[in-house]
Amino acid sequence: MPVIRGRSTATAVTPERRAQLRERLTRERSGPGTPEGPLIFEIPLEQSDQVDVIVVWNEFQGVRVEDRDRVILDAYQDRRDQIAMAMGVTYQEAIDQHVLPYAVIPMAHRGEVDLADLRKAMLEEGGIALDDGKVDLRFPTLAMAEAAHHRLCERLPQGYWSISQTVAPIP
Amino acid sequence: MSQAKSLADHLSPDSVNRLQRAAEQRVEDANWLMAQNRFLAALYFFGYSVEMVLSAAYFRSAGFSPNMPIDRDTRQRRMAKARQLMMTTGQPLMEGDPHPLVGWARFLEWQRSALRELTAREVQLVKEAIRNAGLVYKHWRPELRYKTTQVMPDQIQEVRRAAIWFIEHRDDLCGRE
Repeated sequence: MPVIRGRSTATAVTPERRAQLRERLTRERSGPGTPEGPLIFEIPLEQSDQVDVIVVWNEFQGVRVEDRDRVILDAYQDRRDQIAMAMGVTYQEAIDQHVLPYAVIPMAHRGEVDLADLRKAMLEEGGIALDDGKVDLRFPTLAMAEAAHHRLCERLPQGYWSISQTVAPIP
Repeated sequence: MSQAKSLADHLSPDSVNRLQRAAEQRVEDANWLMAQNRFLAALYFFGYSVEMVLSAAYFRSAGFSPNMPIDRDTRQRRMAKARQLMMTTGQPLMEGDPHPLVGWARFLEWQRSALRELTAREVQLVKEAIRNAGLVYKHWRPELRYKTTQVMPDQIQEVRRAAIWFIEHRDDLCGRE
């Protein structure tokens, strides 16, 4: 019988590549967000000064988990003691693992609102542009989703914004 | 209209202390059920008690203070993290199962090892936790609640021994004062 060996799709990154990822992430932290740049969530833990940091970035595709962690922790060197957990995921991994369970979605009908305005507003709130032209705006906590929902209602009330929650299966 | 207040509306969020206390209570419930020969229901509760001790130990070792709230999103995030991690065998540390007893035990080992080098005694303790979690998971599944399967005395005894081991070692598993 043949020997069938699985192969990991993630490989160790070179020091140069890691430095490049770290620099981009550090820049994204301190400056205005870039369209293809990482999406960063800093989630405060209750009764603590610590945060969980989630970085959603398709550049992590094929990068080992330990390298992702290191890139994030290095980019947060100034606040390293405050990081309770660092987690790097691609967009698809975030969806598959229910890391961003709260989606803010427009319920407007066609013609009620300018789609370009809608798209721009969602991207500026951290929405991820999908290949089919849609924007997926998701958050790891209800509080973050509610804050974005509030801002979007103020900015584009004709968007009829709603929050939906994806629930992981519970047997 | 019912005058009884909604129980569901008054549930506190989980914390390390509450999970540990609930684990103890479920073991007490399970022991009582066992004495009534209700082995399946007893096994069902023993399994959940193990899950609670292990997740409490993980969160405590990850720096959560005993009364710090552990909400559903936080728990989900930490489980997602565990599912990213791979063992040296190439298998994920925690499987996709929503109640992964062995996965929690391995995640606890990973978390504790990430903080500092473990002593030989601590290594032995977490290995024992993984072994006992495996023994419980050999028999326990959440869907047992829908079943009428007969549970044999040796099966319930195996699960009970492991569940009691977890209760007895719950503080040691946390690795913190």
